[in-house]
Amino acid sequence: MNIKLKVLFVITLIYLTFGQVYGTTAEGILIDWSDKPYLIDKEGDGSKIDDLVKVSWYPDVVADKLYFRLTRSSLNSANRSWKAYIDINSEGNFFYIDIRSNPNSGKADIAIYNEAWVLLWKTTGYWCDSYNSELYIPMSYIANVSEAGYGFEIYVRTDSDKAPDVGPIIISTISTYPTITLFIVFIIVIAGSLSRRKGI
Amino acid sequence: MMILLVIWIIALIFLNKLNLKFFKFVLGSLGTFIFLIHYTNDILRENILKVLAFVLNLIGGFITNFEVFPEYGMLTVTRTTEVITFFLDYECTGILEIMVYISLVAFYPIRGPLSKIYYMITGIVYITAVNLLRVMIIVFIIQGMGMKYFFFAHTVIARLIFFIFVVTLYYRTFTLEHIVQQKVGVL
Repeated sequence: MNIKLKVLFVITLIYLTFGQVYGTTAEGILIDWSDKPYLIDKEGDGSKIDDLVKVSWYPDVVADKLYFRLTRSSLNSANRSWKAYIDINSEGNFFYIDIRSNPNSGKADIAIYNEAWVLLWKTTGYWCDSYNSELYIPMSYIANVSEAGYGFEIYVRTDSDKAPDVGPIIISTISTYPTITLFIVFIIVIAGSLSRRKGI
Repeated sequence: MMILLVIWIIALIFLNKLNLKFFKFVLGSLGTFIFLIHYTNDILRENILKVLAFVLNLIGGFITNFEVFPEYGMLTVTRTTEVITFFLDYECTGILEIMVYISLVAFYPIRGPLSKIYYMITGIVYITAVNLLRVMIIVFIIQGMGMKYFFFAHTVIARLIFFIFVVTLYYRTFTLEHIVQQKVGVL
């Protein structure tokens, strides 16, 4: 068999193997958090009410939602209301998210403010229990997600704790920056084609 | 779009009859790129993303503090207390580079149809592999040097390496191939 045919055959087999692997499910209070990114924060470095121990996040561009789940220490009072804040630096534009969770009612109030502390958006839902608060914010409020190449720095905190303790959580795309590459290859190909035409 | 497709095909037949090879190449490549974007963009992107995520997931098993969420096209790199989540979107899959490459190969006068298919498929594999290398370079730089080097890793080092490899592919396929063919008197 021709070597090219062999290569084509092997590549086709690999592609067909990879092609049917994944499926998506999303259920839970807001979404299923079992397979989402998270970080663990040290327990005991905050007050008894709002010691953060885990933060999860998930950007869903299609649904235009940036989801968060904040977990506070289970060593603390299960019924005390607590506040958390998420500060977002979206390429120099700052947004502040205010989360107020009431475990007694199960209600979480979410509000987004801009740099000038003007209220941009707010919502309320039954998204918290004794130790967890879930929320989402519309991604389009904080970035132009219809364009590639966006990124956020996220700082999650309460009145007494931060998660992570140092530095941000970063969510970013990693573009290949195709425009410049394609411009250069366009010149290469046209030059090649013209030299072929002229017989150079 | 169907009307445009028909007009494009008629124009190509017309240019072929007039033996205007260069214009046939330009119009053919441009049209193929536009129709590929329109008709196969989502399928191709989704599948390239699956392959990228699958391979990264395999690699992730050998690297600590590197987690892949294949069904969401996300990667997470942790360093001490800092965390970064990469979201593989449209421009991260190398889909535009792949589509342009396919479009050009389809109409560039290189050997026969089997060679074209060979070049197309190996080109897709090559660009995807280089993209994987690019992502891993970003991951290793962040893990080794810290989050503050993310911008440097992503927009300078990884970008430069990807650029060099992709330009090399185009040069190898479209320029060097042509020179070799001329030297051996194929054309």
